Order: sequence, then C-alpha cells, then structure tokens
Amino acid sequence: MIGPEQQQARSQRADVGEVYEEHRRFLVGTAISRFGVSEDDAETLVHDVFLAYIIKANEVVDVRSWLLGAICNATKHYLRMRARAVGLPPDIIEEPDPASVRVMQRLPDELAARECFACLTPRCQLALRLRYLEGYSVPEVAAELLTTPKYAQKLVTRCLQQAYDRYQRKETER
Amino acid sequence: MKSAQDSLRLIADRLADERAAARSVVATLRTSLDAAWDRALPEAWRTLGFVQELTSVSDSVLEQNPAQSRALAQFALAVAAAVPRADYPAITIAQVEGHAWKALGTAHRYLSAYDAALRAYDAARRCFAAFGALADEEAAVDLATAVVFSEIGRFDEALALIEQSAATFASFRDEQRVVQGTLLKGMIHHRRGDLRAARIAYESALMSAQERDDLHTLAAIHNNLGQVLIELNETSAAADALARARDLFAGLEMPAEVGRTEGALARLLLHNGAYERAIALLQRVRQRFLALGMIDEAGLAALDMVDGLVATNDRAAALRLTETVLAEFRAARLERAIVALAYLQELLREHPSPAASIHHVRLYVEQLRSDPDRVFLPLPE
Repeated sequence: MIGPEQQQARSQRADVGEVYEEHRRFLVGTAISRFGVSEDDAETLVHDVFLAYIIKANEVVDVRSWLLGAICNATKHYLRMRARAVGLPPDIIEEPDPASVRVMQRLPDELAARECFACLTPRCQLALRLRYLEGYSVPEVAAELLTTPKYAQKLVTRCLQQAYDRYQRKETER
Repeated sequence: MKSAQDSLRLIADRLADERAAARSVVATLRTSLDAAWDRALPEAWRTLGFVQELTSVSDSVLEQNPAQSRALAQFALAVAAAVPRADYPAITIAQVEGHAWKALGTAHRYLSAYDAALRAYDAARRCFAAFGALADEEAAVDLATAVVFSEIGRFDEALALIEQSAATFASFRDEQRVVQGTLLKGMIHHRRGDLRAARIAYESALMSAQERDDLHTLAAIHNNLGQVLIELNETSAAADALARARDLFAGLEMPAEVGRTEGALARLLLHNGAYERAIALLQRVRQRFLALGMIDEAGLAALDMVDGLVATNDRAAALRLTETVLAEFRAARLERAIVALAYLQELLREHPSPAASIHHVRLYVEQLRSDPDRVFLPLPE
C-alpha cells in the first residue's frame, strides 16, 4: 500500500522500465559491436547504466545521447579494468584465492564493524567515517567539523568508546 | 529480460518512495539539525532516499545559506554511513554518496574553505571512479575541482581538468557542462590578465548558452563578460552585459549574485564619474550583503563607497563609513581585514590623496577570500 505522496513521487519521474525497454537492445548492441565485449558482459554493463540513470533521470535532457555516452564510458572502463587482469599460472590454478583464505574470520569482523557503526550518533558516524574510512588526519577532521585538532582527537576517541559501549550492550541484549 | 526491467522498476520505486517519505522530515531538520547530531538515528531515516533528499536540500539552500548547506551535506554523509549496504546496488550507493560529497565540497567552496572542498571532491571522485557508468558524475567533480583550482591560482591544473572533463561531457552530449567549462576557462584567462582571450572564451560560451535554456550559466557569462569589457574600456557594452546578468540573477532569486553584479555596475558608474548614482547603488548592495550575513562582501561595497565619497570630497562621511566597517569586521573576527581597515582609517584622517590606498585595501580584502592567510602590506610612501 503506497500513500499519495509516494504515488505522486512515482508518477513525476520517468518510468525507467519504459526507457529500458526502448533502449536496451541498442545499448547492448553498441557495447558488443563497438567494443567487442560478450553479450553477458554487455547486459551487465547496460544494467549498471540504467541504475545510474535512475538517479539522474530528472536531469537528463537527451536520454538516448546520455545512455549512449554512459554505455561507451562504462564499457571502456570495464575493458581498462580487464586489461589489468593477468591470467594465473597453471601451477597455482587450484590454489584458493588469497583474499578468501581468512574469510571465515574476516567476515564476522566486517559485519561487527558495520553493526557497530550503525549504533553510533550521526556526529560519531561522521567523525569516524572521516578519520577511518576516508583517511582524514586529525587536523583535517577538525577543519571539517570547525573545531580544534585537540577537540577533534577527543571526539574521535569518545566516538570509538561509544562504538565499543553500544556494541557491547547490543551483544549483551541478544 | 523481464526480470532486469522489473528489478530496475523496483529500485526506482523504492528510491522515490524513500524520498517522498523523507521530504517532511528533512524540511523539519533544516531548523532542528543541531539537536539531531547527538541523537540516535531513527531506523526509518537510514535509507538512500533520505540521503538523496538531504543532499538535494543542501544544494537548494547553497546560495542563500552555504553554512546550512554544508551542515546538511555532512548530515547526509553521516546517514549514508548507517544505510544497510546490502539493501541497494553498489553503484547506486556510490552515486548517492558521491553526490553528498560533491554537495559538501561545493558548500566548502562557497565558504572559501578550499582545502576542505578539495578533500570532499576527492572523496566524491573515489565514489564515482569505481563505476564507468558514472563517468559524467566524475567529470562533474573534475569541473568543480577546476573551479577551486582557479580560485586558489592553480590555473594550469584547472585548465587541464576543464579539457579532460569537456571530452567526457561531449561524449554524453552534455552541452550545458561544456559551456560551463568554457566559461571557467574565460575566468582563468581573465584572472591571468589575458583580457582578449577571456573575452573570446566568454563570447563563445555566450553563443552556446543562448541556444539553451540555461539561465544561470547565461547570467554568469553576461556578468563576467561585463567585467572584462570594463577593463577593456568598452563601458557601454559592459553596462548592457551587467544589466542583463542582474536581471537574470534576480529572476533566479540569487540575491548574492544580484549584489555582486550590482556592485560591478556601481564600479562602472564610479569609473564614469557618476558618483552619486554609484554611491546610492552601493548602499543598496551593502544592505543586501549585510542582510545575507556576508560581511566581507558588504565591506567591499563599503570600500567602493569610500572611494566615491573621497572623490566627491566628503572625507568625513568616508571616515565614518570606514569606522562602521571596521566595527563589522571586528564583530566578524576578520582579523587580517581589520589590520587593512585600521590602516585605511588612519590614512583617511591624514593623507591628502588616499585614492590609491583605498584601491589597494579593497584589492587586499577581495584577495583575502581566496587567500585568507595573505599578509597586509601598506603601499610604499
């Protein structure tokens, strides 16, 4: 059941399904004929293009040109990435992917970190995000939050403590 | 293929519903954001639609209230960190987060915090660069970064980014952004003192912009063309261009830009010796900036008035106005500008012909916006 506000919001934007139906073949064909990618890869790239289009739909003036630009750039980017990939030598082809060796230990840690992040106040979300996800130095965090480096350091420490306390509490409640 | 189409529709509907649900909450947050920073984030807010709505409001208040725009973009990033990653496609998360970073960078740029702006734009670029389908978004960040580079005098880097982004915009047939790049190129030539190259770039941008319905870019081009024509001594063409810019900005409800354009018109009147009209116009401009809380801009208008008052031998009024501005700068803690104004105050009391020093102080206060650490040095005797 959707309310009147939602109904209005949905009706105001272009129907992405219709745009997809109208242009999909052309875009898949372009990726295959111009860049020589496989049909499966072309379909995946076209899907990404339409996902990007959903957010941009209200800004795009010439839909076909925009979609064409997006699929060409997406395919070139994909080919650049693929060109960097190097085939595995036959002697290690049966070896497990090093990235997945510690997956059983790493995955719970990552999930815990995400859960932990979700427990925080917005101020702490931002402070820790800047410091640890974006790699801001403490003076840069201070500049972003319009405070002194000393206070920014204090805030980061307090937020880490908040993360620890709230996650512990959540664990105890389970 | 039905399933791919359906999944796209589902995502589009979901984001539209989330934004619609966020609208009234975000409207309320505009006046209660301070309190929201230290409260737990409600579950219902942890959606990409909510982040989009915050970013959109941040963009819409930028011109009127850049500090609020910055706070909203920061809040959008805080909310984005709490959005469950598994609920959306990775490219959608990157795109929405990238928009929030870009909004933050632009708010910093409006507030002359250029290092912070560049850091935010870098973060936006990291979001977009992971997906080739977001190449136009990445190019838009490059263009925004070029604006910052041009503000801080890194002209060659700015020009390189404009060229690079223009190629991407052309591949999307995004004429509007190509024109914006040409306009910026003109501004860089202008700042470098290459007036003829600037004029050529502005006129080329004007031709393209006139074919489109992009009033904001058109207004900016007329404004810049007007400024360059003043320096080329083509005063009547300059007045026409500035008047068009002012009318367009007024129609777009951009009070700060209207103020800046009227300030340029007033300087043109000063240049032509129409002192009384210039002073009356500058007084209006000054009040406009004071109402917007833009103390440095209001100070610049006052310094132009001081110039006009001295030219009409009203030294006492010039001195009173300088003292008023000095008090405003002190209240706003514009430390370096205070030094320059105090120097001017002394000079107006004693110096027989202070015009050159007034221009020197005005230029210094103007330069402080892009170079806040610049040290004031009086003109040599």
